[in-house]
Amino acid sequence: MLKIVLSISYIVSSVFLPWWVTVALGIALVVHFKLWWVAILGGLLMDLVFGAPIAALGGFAYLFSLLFVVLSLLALMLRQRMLE
Amino acid sequence: MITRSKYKLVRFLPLAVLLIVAGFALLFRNEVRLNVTRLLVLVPHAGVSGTSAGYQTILYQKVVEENARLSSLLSLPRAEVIAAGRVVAHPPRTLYDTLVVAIEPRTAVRRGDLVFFEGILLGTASSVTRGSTSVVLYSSPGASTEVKVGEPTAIVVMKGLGGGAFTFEVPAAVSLEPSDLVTSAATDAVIAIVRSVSTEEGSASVRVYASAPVSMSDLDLVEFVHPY
Repeated sequence: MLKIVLSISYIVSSVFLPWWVTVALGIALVVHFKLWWVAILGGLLMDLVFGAPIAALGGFAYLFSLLFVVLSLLALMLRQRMLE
Repeated sequence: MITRSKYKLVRFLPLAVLLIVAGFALLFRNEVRLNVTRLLVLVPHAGVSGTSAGYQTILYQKVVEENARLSSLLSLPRAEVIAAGRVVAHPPRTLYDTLVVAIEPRTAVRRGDLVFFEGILLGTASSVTRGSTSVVLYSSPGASTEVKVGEPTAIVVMKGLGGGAFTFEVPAAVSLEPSDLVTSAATDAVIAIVRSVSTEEGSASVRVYASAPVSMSDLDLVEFVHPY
């Protein structure tokens, strides 16, 4: 139940709340609940709605999607290392 | 009972869902953006309720069109304001000093159009979809624009630092003080206000820090103008 509530809160926050709230919820989703695919979808939603080519990043516009993909991979690698 | 082979398939289910949903989202990105922008327009902003905000936007657009028509009839020289839009998202909801502006679907806004707020030049439209546009502010990190400043007037390249802040260098011979206006070299519109001037002994130039004259939270109705 908490997973569902947090996932919905995360998706809603990606549109209506400041980006740092969404990132914090996304980290919780990835690290604690292993809902990495929800986190990546939320990041993609943020990039589709708010994204614009960023000059400092060479025109890259999908920053949050990349952030959550990297975070998910990192969490997966760390989890496997800790389990070994 | 879940067999070994079924367990392997179930493990890939989240990835499959992600790829399918992401694929559709990217395929229909314009529709996603339009519908989310419609939701954002309903959110109260700057003390105005969502429904009256939409009504205000329509009224403002009509005022812009009527003003342009009257100026044309009277042969008054003015920049052609092609559309008005309502800011539905700004930092900190957005990242890197960008705005999301809801516009009428039938407007002629295109990529590269200048964006003004009460005569202050904010930035340029970076991507335009039906019903919304993203605006990259000149204060966005990595963004640069040519500006005029000081006495005697110097034309320099001003760079964005993010958070509404700018920086540039001018020759030491140019007289500059805090509260001086920084104007666009192309349009003469105000872009920023000088906040601090730092000099180094023996240096032929001074480092100037400026900031946008308007707060992000005050941005409401903005105007789009074709570059000139």
